[in-house]
Amino acid sequence: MKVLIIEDEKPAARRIKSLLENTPGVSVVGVVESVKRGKEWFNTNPSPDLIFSDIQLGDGLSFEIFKELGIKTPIIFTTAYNEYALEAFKHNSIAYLLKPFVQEDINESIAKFKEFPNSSNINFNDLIAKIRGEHAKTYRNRFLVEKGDQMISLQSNEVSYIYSEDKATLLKDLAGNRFFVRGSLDEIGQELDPRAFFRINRSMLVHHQSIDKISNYFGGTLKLELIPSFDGDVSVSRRRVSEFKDWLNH
Amino acid sequence: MNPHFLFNSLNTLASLIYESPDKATDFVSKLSGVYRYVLKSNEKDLATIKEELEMAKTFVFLLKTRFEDDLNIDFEIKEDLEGFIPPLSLQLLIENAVKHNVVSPDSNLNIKVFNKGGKVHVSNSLNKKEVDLNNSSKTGLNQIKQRYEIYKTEGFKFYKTDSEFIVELPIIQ
Repeated sequence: MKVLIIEDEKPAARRIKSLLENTPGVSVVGVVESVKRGKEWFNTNPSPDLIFSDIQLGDGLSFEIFKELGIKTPIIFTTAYNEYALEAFKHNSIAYLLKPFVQEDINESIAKFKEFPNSSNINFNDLIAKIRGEHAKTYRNRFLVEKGDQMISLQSNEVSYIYSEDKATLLKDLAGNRFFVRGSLDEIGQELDPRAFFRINRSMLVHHQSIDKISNYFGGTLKLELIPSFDGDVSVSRRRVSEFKDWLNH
Repeated sequence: MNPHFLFNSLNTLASLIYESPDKATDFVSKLSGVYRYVLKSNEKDLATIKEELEMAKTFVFLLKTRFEDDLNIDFEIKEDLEGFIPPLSLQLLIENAVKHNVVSPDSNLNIKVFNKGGKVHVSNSLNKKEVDLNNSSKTGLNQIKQRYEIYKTEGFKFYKTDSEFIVELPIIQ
């Protein structure tokens, strides 16, 4: 089994290398100490079978390597102390080892990897946000809207889309009711959970639950059909298309 | 001091034990020296330059064990320079430099501690990490600033040039 080590701390890198070299069936094909060198390594070497990777490197996060190059090799993360990362790992069943570790820890993780060799499909954007502590952020839950002479408190997950029209901001809920809301689309967009809502173009924020059909449209844009339906064309602007697809692929 | 630092140091230590028991023992002794100084400095408002330099050098030893030649620190300052500065200020400035800048074989971090015009200067080469998980270092800098305000000493400043981040610590007599 070909293993790559990503670790910026010199004595620790030598230690994990010797532990892995003492593990039967394992050969270390490289030791990489920075994000920059990691990218170079993957560009010039065949993919290893398994990666042991530190999180914080001297020039950034190891996640940057995997995210940018779309690495699909299974990874076992190693960390001495990062409470946010640990929380994120546990939440997403991502394999990790706490440093310092001993031979037994390595053997166990290799055995586990052999038993469940599924390649990792990790959402690194999400992970980076989490370990920056952004998970602590709470998003807007409710909208107070008026209907006739009544006021209604609408939950964010009852919203289908929010759009601007003639300088006003309007909201359509799941039932197809239309309400005026306060604030600009920019402001409201900042308050809402980006996993639920996406700004598809200059004038509309869409909740994923309201997307019915997606089709290719001219100029590299996408055309959407929404539920409840919208009066007029709804398209995802060209420069947001790839981010839009990522968002729907979470 | 960042809890990260303790855990990272313990990890370094675990590796050193195998490589060289002598180095490991030296490392433990310096690590306890650093923590002893931190505990002691909570009780006082000012530290002598001599104490601070000694602490900073011990701290640097621990960092150099982890980063080896990727981190270079020069002390161009006399050990017996008279006067006081806020406790842990040198350690904090060095720690900040390492936290926010790239330290790698392709981009070494160079820090210099020197004496100029009645002030201790700490400068570091600038090469900011792209994804920086650490919060702004302003908290630490503000603490030092407040300490100088208490002692009604002017001249504390920090600024950036094209290639360096520089902090000037006035020496209190």
